[in-house]
Amino acid sequence: MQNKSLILILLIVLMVTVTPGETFAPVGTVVGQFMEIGMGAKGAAMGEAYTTGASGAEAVFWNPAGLVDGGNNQLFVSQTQWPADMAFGGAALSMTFGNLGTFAISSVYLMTDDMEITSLDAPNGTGDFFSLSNYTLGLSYARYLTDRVSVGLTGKLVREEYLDHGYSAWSLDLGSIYRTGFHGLKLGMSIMHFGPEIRFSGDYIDYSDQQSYLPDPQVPKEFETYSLPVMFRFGTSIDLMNKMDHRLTAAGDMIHPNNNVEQYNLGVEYAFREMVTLRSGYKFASDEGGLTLGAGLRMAVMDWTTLCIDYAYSDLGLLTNSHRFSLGISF
Amino acid sequence: MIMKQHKILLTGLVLILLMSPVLNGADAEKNHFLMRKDAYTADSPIVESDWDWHKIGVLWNRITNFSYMGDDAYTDRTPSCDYPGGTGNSYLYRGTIWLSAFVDGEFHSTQGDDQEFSPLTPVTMYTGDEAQKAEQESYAEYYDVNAPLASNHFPLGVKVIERTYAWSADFASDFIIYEYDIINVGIDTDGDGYPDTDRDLDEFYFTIRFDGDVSKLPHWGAEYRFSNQDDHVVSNGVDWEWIEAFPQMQGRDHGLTIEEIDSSMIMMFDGDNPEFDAFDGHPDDFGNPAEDGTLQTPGVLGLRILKTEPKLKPHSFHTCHIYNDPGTDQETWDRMISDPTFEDLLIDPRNNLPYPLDYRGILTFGPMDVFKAGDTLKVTTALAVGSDPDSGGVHSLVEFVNIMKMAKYMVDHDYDIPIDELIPPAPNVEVEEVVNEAGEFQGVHLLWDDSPESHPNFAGYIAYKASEKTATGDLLWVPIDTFMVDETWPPPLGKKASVYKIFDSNVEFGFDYYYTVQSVSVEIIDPPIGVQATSMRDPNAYYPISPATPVATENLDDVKVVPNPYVGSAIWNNRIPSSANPWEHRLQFINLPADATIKIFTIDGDFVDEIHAGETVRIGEGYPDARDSVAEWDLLTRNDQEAAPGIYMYVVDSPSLGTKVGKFVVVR
Repeated sequence: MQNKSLILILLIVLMVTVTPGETFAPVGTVVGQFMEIGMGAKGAAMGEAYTTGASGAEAVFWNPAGLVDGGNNQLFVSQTQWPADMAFGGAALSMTFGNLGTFAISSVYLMTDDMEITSLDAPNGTGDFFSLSNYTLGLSYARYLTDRVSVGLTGKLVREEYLDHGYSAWSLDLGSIYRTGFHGLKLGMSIMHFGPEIRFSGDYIDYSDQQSYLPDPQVPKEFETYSLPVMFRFGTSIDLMNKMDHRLTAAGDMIHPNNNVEQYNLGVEYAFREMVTLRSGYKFASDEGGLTLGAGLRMAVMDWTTLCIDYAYSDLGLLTNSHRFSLGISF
Repeated sequence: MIMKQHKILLTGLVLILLMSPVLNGADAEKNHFLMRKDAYTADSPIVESDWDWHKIGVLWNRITNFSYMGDDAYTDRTPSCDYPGGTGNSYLYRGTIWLSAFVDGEFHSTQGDDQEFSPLTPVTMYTGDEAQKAEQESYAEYYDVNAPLASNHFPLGVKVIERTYAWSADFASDFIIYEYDIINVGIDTDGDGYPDTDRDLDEFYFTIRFDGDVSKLPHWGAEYRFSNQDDHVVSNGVDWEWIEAFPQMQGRDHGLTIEEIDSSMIMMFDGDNPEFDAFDGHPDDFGNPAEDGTLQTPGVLGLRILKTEPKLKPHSFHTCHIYNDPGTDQETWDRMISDPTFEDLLIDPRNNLPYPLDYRGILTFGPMDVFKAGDTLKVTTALAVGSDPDSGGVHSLVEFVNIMKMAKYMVDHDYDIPIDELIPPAPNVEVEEVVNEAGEFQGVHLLWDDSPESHPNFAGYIAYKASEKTATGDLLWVPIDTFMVDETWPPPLGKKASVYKIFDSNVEFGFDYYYTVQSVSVEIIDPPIGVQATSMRDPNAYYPISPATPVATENLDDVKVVPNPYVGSAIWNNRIPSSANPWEHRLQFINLPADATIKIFTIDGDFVDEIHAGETVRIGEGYPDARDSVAEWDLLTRNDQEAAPGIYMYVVDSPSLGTKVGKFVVVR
């Protein structure tokens, strides 16, 4: 069984290495990029080096193989204050059914006020507003293959819509984690948002084409097709120290997206009695900012539940910064 | 059955035999000759063939040092009476001069198109202070004393100094003057290439042989289709009655009188080739209408002998065509001197219409009884295309005749035309945005001063606006108001006493507009240039504008992205994209401070592109700059990839006003 997962890991490595490398960053060429924003305060504070660190319900946003580590049942919610008056959030509920494995449902969403429509006739605003909706709905399943290797899979619906133009698409996340047992060393990888090409619904008048705008009636055109933001994540983490009350963990991720050059993230986490946690990280290939900081509390509430409250600050350079809060309940 | 096959075979063979001289003739026409210096002895005065171009006016043409007007090449052709210059719409195959005389009672001729002139100097172009009489001049010499490229040539012993003059000014941009100094230099008896023996020439004639191809495209195949075979050639020899022979010209008032009849012109224009329909499907392809019906070759190409010193009389006008060009001096004599002296139209008996062919016009002046050794004959001609692009035909003919009047006037006055005294200057134009008390944009004021009115020839103003470009990238000017002193006068005054003001509300932010006001002259009779108007692009009068809000000085709250969402395309760009005027997506950030830099990011923070206030995505001559309160994005990423649909973030960074983060949506 362990060999099989190794083969799977090797296959994924192979897939990535044979993916033609870009000599430049093909930024801004895919849709659904809200899915690439790091979800949750813990992962964000670790500089998003979280492919192996995410456990429990929040693992669906990083690597579904981590779902198996969260105990029986978990509820996770997160809210992020994002630049330009936007909010980004997610929620996941995981449930473990013994040997059968762990199931989870999850959602990611971008929220903002309706945006004012501006047009050539009314450049300062028509007085009308349009709404946007960017969200996913996912169903995940994860289980141990061996006592050291877990795998997970998410199938999700991705939806993006602006002013009655949008798309709905299915995509898949697939991941695995290998726990070596040596100083807590973990190796993990995931493929996120793997799906078909999409096309926005509706049509438009192409003013650069006389066949489209000159005939009466005008002949609307279909929109072009685009890819979803496919990401290959490779991560590792190790406990630099794990004695009595103190734990210090370091993590590193390499991410290969289809819309940018390789990303390298590093993070560290210090925990005191697993109750108070301090985190920091750095995103090296980030265009703006890169430094992340965070802290968390973990406490038992009554005797049947544990509560985690976490906060993260991310420096976004010119785009200012973001604050993330997340709450985890294990029961 | 077998007999029938034989018959077909035999007929085919006979046809091929009959056709072969024609085919050879056609091939010979295609052979463009280029002299090589190594063909001559080192001490020969003959130099290599050389050429240059007049491209400053509306008529563009090639100038050579071997008596060719135009460029008769079929591939890599350069302007050859291209009109309007730069469009590639060509009217001329080639024109040359023929000189002829009697020597010892026998007729001899020297013909430029038979390569009987050899170059003596390269073509030299003069402009600016170096130019004596025109804005651009050329100089070249050639002679017929030694013509190594011609076979069995009998040299008359003449040298020609050819000067050409061209202008860009409106009233002189449609013609090019050719001035020939023909000198009887004598003949070369010792074979060194230099004349050494004087000889008088009897009954000396000067001839222009003119082979227009309306319209000759730069490819042989296309020309066949495009009908060098359906031209007409006429002269102004007897009267203007011939106009009525053309159904396309009949019954239109041309106003030409017997005063314009002096047997000095060759005129060529495109006829109707009955073998081919026009591109618009109409069986009549007179003027070569394209599919949209616009005439591709509406003009009349021609030439006029304006002046001869000593004075020569018109002698004859004849035509020939690709199948009966004279091959010997005797045939030339027949064609030039024989009756009738002035040839009439060749009428096709089948339909009673003028017969279209690949004509050459042969216009001869003379004879000079004796052209003495050492004497000079000076001939001045003008080459022109008169074109009325809307209706062509007789209107183009009238244009042509008027252009030639102007050319004659200039020659008669030794090119000394007091332009500023004749044509009033353009006014000084400004365009201002109009905002009401609530700060809402209302339109623009077009303002101009009354400075042209002190000019004695001032007659009025025409105000124009252009809001679109054609596929060639030219502005589509539309007159918006006309004010003539004797009709509608005066134009509305603005606040200042000497400044006129008209309001245009049909203006929107983000679009490009071009304004100009022309000064129009009264009908100018001396010189006969008629009503003249100042240039649309006169730097004082031409005013492009891309209206936008004033530069923000308060805060960044008002910064907007237009349109938002951007759905596929926006109408404010050019709607007739072409390679000369390509389509670009334009997304505007408005209400900016002038020092703003905008960085665009994807929703997850990838840096996509950077733009600056005052930047426009449009590249090309004549686009108004975006106002400093506007920055435009072409929807291309920093790697010139098309940006994907979705929500984007932007950061406006202004050293004076701070920073603002915003968002916008692209759907495509």
